[in-house]
Amino acid sequence: MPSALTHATFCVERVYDAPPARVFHAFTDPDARKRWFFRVHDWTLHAHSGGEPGVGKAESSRFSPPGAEVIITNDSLYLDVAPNERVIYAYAMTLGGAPLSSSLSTVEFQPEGKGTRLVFTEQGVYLDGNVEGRIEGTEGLMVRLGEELERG
Amino acid sequence: MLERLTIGPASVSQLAEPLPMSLAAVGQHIAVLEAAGLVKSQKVGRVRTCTLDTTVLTQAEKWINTRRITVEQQLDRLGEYLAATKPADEA
Repeated sequence: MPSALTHATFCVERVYDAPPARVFHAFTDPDARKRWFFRVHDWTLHAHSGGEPGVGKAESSRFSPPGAEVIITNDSLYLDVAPNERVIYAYAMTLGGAPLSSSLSTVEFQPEGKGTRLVFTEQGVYLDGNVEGRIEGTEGLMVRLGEELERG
Repeated sequence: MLERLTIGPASVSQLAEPLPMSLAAVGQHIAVLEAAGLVKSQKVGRVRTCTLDTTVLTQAEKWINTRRITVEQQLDRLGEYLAATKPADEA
């Protein structure tokens, strides 16, 4: 089944012990994102640009998994920014120059007690005909991300 | 229809039986499901038998799980970052 299109939606929630303003800042500030989102052990980040939160603002990155030459790109565009409340952005990924996925992500920052409930909803269409290989690659990333977390 | 097919293969008339639809309408629905790669059918004599094609569903499930895991891990990482940068005056 080459180049099958798969539409999907999923939702992930987290409660953080920090007020919405601080969670929003950590989620959207380019320097903060480099610390928790982009900096992954053994992965090569070839290029990164943009990332300032604002409607119409873009962020681009190019990276490769450990020990591999293949280039993965991620281009995202902010569609809606309500400071300390929510962001909505669209992003597209490519693998080795071939389109992989296009997604719409909605991130809500809801006050909960002294903390914040973050609700992440992704609606996407996945174009990859070779999902298996991609999944292995992502699982490798997850393992390394876990190691990075342990390191603090 | 997909729910019925998870039990096992069924003929078009078996699929149509519990539905308030004509046999022709059910046939059109099956054609759409076949085009989407969710259902396979085979005609033997006058009977068309449908089976669930799990390839696409399985790929989709795997992909969604992978994306979900990615996001879960990223949000965990955000939690670590927030804990590491917690200001002294934050309650």
